[in-house]
This record gives sequence, structure tokens and C-alpha cells, in this order.
Amino acid sequence: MSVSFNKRDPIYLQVIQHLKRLIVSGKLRPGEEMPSRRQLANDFKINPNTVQRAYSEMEEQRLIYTEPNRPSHITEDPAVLNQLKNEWLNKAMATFVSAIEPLDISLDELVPLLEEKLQKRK
Amino acid sequence: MIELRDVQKSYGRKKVLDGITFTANKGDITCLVGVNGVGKTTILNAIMNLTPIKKGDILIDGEKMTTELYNKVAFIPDVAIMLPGMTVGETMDFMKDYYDTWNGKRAKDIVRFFRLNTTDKLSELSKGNQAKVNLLMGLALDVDYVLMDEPFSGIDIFTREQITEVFSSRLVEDRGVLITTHEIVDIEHLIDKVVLLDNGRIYKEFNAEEMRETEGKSVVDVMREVYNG
Amino acid sequence: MKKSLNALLKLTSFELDRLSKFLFTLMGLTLVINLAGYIYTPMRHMNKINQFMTENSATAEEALQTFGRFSFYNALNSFWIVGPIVIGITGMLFYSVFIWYREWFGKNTFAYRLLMLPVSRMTLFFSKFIVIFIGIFTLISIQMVSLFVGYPIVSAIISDTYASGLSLMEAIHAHPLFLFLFPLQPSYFMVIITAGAVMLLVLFTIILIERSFSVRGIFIGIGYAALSLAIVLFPLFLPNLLKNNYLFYSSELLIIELILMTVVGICSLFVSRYLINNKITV
Repeated sequence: MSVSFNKRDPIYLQVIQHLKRLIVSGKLRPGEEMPSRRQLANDFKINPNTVQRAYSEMEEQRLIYTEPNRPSHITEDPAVLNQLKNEWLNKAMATFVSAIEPLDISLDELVPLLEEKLQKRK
Repeated sequence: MIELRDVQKSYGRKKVLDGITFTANKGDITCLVGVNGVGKTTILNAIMNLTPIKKGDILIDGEKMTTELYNKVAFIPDVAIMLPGMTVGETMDFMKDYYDTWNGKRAKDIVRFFRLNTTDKLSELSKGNQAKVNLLMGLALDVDYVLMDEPFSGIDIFTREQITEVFSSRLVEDRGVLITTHEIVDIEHLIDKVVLLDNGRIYKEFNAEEMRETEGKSVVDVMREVYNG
Repeated sequence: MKKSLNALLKLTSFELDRLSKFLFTLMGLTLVINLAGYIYTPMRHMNKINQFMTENSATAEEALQTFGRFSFYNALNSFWIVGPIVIGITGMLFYSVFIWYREWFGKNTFAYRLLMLPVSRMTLFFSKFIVIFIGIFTLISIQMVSLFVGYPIVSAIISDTYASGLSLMEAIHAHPLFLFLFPLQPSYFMVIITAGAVMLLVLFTIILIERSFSVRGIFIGIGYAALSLAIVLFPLFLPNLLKNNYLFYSSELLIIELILMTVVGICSLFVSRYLINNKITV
């Protein structure tokens, strides 16, 4: 796992973003065990305290859960997972919409283009 | 916690340390950054009672430094400090002989991690491998604090990467790490706290992650402001 | 207590190991030069006699009258014996300074490691002190052994006619140098040893002063040396100053000197301890 972080955003937020991506894409499955803080810090070459902070934040958002003296796990709660997917989609849509904002283009024109792109992805 | 309170020191008329006050916490990586001057190394030497200070206090968990505390605080200078005729293995034996907190198992891990050869003579090692031997001596001690002076200076890029890896590895565990450097870029992601020094004074002391969060500035951004401003 | 003693022993044996090459060189030098002397000096004497006898067609009687009898003392009182002793003393004096400065000025700064050992720093001081003394006593013993080996060699080369019959002990006693080096007179030897130890303590203290205050330290160090010397020599000049030559019996003077030297030695220990704990710079 190699991630490049930018230097101006808080690293813990970048870590969370990266892990969320792994969750929505299914690379981290519901209930799956999370790597230890030390392990992740070592993989990402960042400070373990930063990973700790990212994990705490994710616990608060109920994306992961930790029982005492056990490794953390990805949540199995479908509501939380759905919410995460929605959030991800909303954010992507917002980015997309704001990116095409300068263009004068109608929904009817957009739909086939989108379909084509999605086809290609598959 | 390593605590410095109003530490002052002069060489002749020149003030090297002019009222240095800061703390380095256990479990944190604290980085003393300075563009030039001898102040950084002097601070580490002063903490280790390897050079006297004129005024001020230096406390390790509230205590003054004593020789017994060398079992609790390790210092990794950026010069070779073992006899050149010794081998890496003899260096380890020497450390084991004198330090109660020498952890032989971890020492072996470190030798493997750095791919050192215990039968190599220190005088025949490259600069990078000599630095690794220094790290070995410091990190294999079960100490609470590790001080490192310029761990990246004059070292090839691969060794540099290996040394960087040390900071996020279990070789550091929950110790307090205090390092000095003038090249921050390699380790920006690794440090908790930054103490910016110039001309024997502290310009700014801040938490790197908080700085990114509240002001959207990288450590280098802050340095640029401070040293160019 | 047990731990610090253990550390002292370990450090001393470590220092001894570092001294060994130099010491073995000095020992070897002593033995080789001595041996050359044991052979060369009596042979030269015999050659002179033989030459004298052939050139002047003289008898052994006449040769004896010209050259006298050859004793072991003649062999001792030569460059071949005195030289290595001077080399040994100079060498150990040099090493007493070197034993400290090498930790700073070597290719590697071993001073870092030594000063960061979790043992009392005076342990370093004592280990170096002890090692110098081990060196000195080793050289003295090797010189003694050499004399025992040399005596029969000289006796074998000088034919009985020209030998004085002076015994080994008589020859040694006759030479003033060995009065200093060997425990021939216990009280005298003790003064010499004390003086040597105190000199070494003062020297170590001066080195630590220099290591603590650098250039300024050199002047303070010279001052400290002068003061120490003045204190020790003071009683010797006192009779002159008071114009009373009968002030002390020599046995009294001996005791006064011993006390003064001990005082200077103990002061040096305290100064050294303060410096090495608080003032020294790596």
C-alpha cells in the first residue's frame, strides 16, 4: 500500500479519505479486520499518532468499531455503509457538477456521454 | 517529558542558546529545525549533560540528568562514536556490558532491518552504515527517549529511506523522539511537533497536523515564512 | 556499590586492552635494548683488554691495572639500560596525556560513548588512572626480570680474571636510578609512588580543566600545576626562608611531604570529579 499525501491538508483526514475509498470500493469488506495502527503507520510512512487520530475519528463516525484489546474492524452496519456510499456519491456529483459548470450543456446531452463513460469503465 | 526552561549558553561572547524553552513529550516525534548555526546539536548535548549550560534547567520527567538516566535516554549523534577497530558485534557486546536496558533481541532485529554485518569493522563501513551503527546503539536500548542529531545528513538516499522507516516502525514504539534536522522534507509526514530555531532562539513551536488543519500550511510553508520573513 | 566496582573492572580491562599494544612495544624495546647492552658492553670491554694486551704485549695483570675490573654495575650504567628506562618513563607520561585526548581527537569521538555510560564518570577517571599505574609497574617488573636475565649473560662474557665479583643486588643498590624505580627501601619507594600518583592526578586534573574550559583552561591548568608544585615544594624551601637549617628532621620532612602530597592528590580528585560531572564538553 503506497499513498502519497499532500503536505498542506491534515494527514489524518487524508488517511480517512483513503480508507473510505477502500470501504466504498469493497476492498475493505464489512467486518474485516483493520491493520494495527503501527502497521498502517509503517505502510504509509507516517506518524502512528496520526493513524491513531484517523482511527478515533472513524470510530466516532461508526465506520469502524473496536472492542477493548482487540484489533479494529470495519463496520457491518448497512445503514452506516449506505450513508458512506451516498456521501461519496454526493461529493463526486458535486465535484462533477461544479467542474462542468462553465459549459452550456443540457441533461439530455449529458446522459449518453455518461452512459458511454460508464460502459468503458466496465 | 523532556523539558527545557530558559536554557542559555555562550561560547566566549557569542550566545549559542539564548533562552531556549520547549518540551518534547513521550510518544511524540519532536523535530528541532534550524537552517544554520550550532544551536541544535548544542541543545542535544546539553540535554545529555555532555556540555555545561550557563543558565536554565533541563529536566527529564522532572529530574535532572544523571548518569543513571543514560539507561532511560539514548542519544544518537551524527559522528562516529565507537572505536574504529571494533566490529559491529563487538559494539553490541560493549553496549550489553554496560547498559541494563540493552535489548539483545531488538538489537538483532535492527541488525537485520539495516542489513548490517556483525563481523564488519567499523572503520570499513560507509558513512551510511556508520550512521546505522549509531542508530543500532541508541534504538536497541529500552529507553523512554531517543535523541537523534541530524540522522539524514551526508547519507545516500536509500539509507535515508531506511532510516525514515525507523520512525514509523515498532523500533521507535511509544518512545519520545527528539530529532534535529535542517532537511525537513523527508520526514514532514512523520513528525508531531516542530520547534523552529534560529540564532539560539525559538521562533515558533507548533504541532504539524494542527498547522495543516487550522491554517492549511505545510511545515515547509511555515519555515519559509519564518526564515524568509 | 557492587555494580560500580564491576563497571570499574570492566572499564579497566577495556583500557588495558587498548594500552596493550603500546605497552608490549615498550616492554619489547626494553628487553631487546637491554639484551644488546648485556652483550655489547662486556664484549667491548673484553675487546679493549685483548687489543691492549696484543698491541702492548701486556699481561692480564697490566690490563687489569689499566682498565680495572668489570662489574655488572658497568653494564647497568650505560645507555643500553638507562635509555629504555627513559623511553619507558617518557612513553608512559605521553600515554597519560594521550589516554584522554584520543577520546576526543581520534577518527571517532569515543568520548560520547564513554561519557554516556550509565556509570559514575569517575569510574572512567579511575580506570584510566589504574591502567597508567599497571603500565608503569609492568615496565618496572620487566626491568627487574631483565636484570636477572642479564647478570648471568654479563658474567659469562667477562672472564673471571677481569670480573669484580659484584653481586646482582650489590650492583643494583649501587645505581641511584634503581633506588627510585625498585622497592629497595620501602619508605623511599612509598614516597616515590605517592609522588608519582599525585603527579598523575594533577596531570589528569589539568587535562580535564583544559577539556572543560578550552584555551582559557590551558592557563588555568598551568596555574593549577604551579600551585600544586608550590604546595609540595614549600617545606623544602622553608629552612632557607627561615634561615634555620635544622627546622625538620629528614623523617619529619618525609611525613610532611607525604601529607602535603596526599592533600594535593585529594584536592585534584575533587576538582576532577566536579569537572567531569558538570563542566566537561564532548
